[in-house]
Amino acid sequence: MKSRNKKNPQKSEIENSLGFPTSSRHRNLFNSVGNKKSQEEMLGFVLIVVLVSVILLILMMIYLNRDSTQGDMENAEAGNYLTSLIQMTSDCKDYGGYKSVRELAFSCLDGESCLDGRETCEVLELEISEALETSWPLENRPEKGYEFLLKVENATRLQVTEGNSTGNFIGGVKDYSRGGEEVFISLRVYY
Amino acid sequence: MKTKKSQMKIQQMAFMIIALTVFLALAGLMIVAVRFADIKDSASLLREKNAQLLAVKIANTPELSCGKGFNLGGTKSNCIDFDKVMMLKQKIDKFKNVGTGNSEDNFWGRGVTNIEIRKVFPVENSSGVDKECTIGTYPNCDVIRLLSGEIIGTPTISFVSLCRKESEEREVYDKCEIAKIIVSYDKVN
Repeated sequence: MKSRNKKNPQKSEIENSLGFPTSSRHRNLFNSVGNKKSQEEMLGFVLIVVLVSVILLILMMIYLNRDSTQGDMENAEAGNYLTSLIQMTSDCKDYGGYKSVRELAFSCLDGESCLDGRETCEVLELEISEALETSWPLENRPEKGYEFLLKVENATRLQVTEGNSTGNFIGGVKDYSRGGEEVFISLRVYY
Repeated sequence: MKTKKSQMKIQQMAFMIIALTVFLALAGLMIVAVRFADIKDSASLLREKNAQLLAVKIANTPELSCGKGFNLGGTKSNCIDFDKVMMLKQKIDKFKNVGTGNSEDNFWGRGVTNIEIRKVFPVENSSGVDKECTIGTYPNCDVIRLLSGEIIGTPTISFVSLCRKESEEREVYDKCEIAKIIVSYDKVN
């Protein structure tokens, strides 16, 4: 290489001025820099893979934990109870006779009153709280609380709650379409 | 130098393959775990639903269920006609030996030993003592024992509506209450 440089000193000067290594020492240096660079790339890649794997594992753990604590909204027991509850006959009477809880809920949404002058919403709240209190007693029981909701679209129109709401619950939902609006009646029993 | 460089490239490739395999294996594991979690949930849900269906099936038999005479807003499932049950209770002996000829079979299904309907709300007797339904106590009673055999294993329970016809000022209306049907089997199929 020296001889080549000696033979062609001009070329060497030009290469040096452009920043290209031309000597064997320079080439070795270039190779070692290249190796180091690829090693760094490998390390970076491995780090990224490890990081992504750890994130995936954490996400999986969160997902599995959430599954064990999240309630089951389509539980048969709560669903059957809710069906029976809305079919129950209340003591609110209008010209058509005694109203069921479902009819009472719709009358409550319309702001109607019973024949005896009581507000349908008051009667509904009373009927539901009494029924829930008797059916799901909370003292010395695995049940920790319950929540009954009457919702129109996203607005809550009636809420009956007792006890504590935990992450573990069973529940049921009934939905009705009425005058272009969605009416939801739901029940959650917390454990 | 060339050998070292190719060694380096092979190493790089090997690392990449290992890392990719680890990554794909973890991703696969995650998918499998999520899938299996769903299956486990579905299995427990199905088991629970099946157990409840055994009780619901009996509640929805024509001998117990509410007929066309009841106006329950379109849904007549899980509704038991109180009057029918009381009549059935009087003639329950006739149903005892009705089956397929198998000793475990009876009218209500294989291995059914006990059927009980218990009022949940409103309760007639708040003292906690059961007031059994007879012709004399009807309708102000709490428990109807249709089949009162030995209670073996875990009974299956389902909430139902217990409906009857009531009259007030010459007007007839449907009176529905919340009840539980409790069915015991000596063998769950």
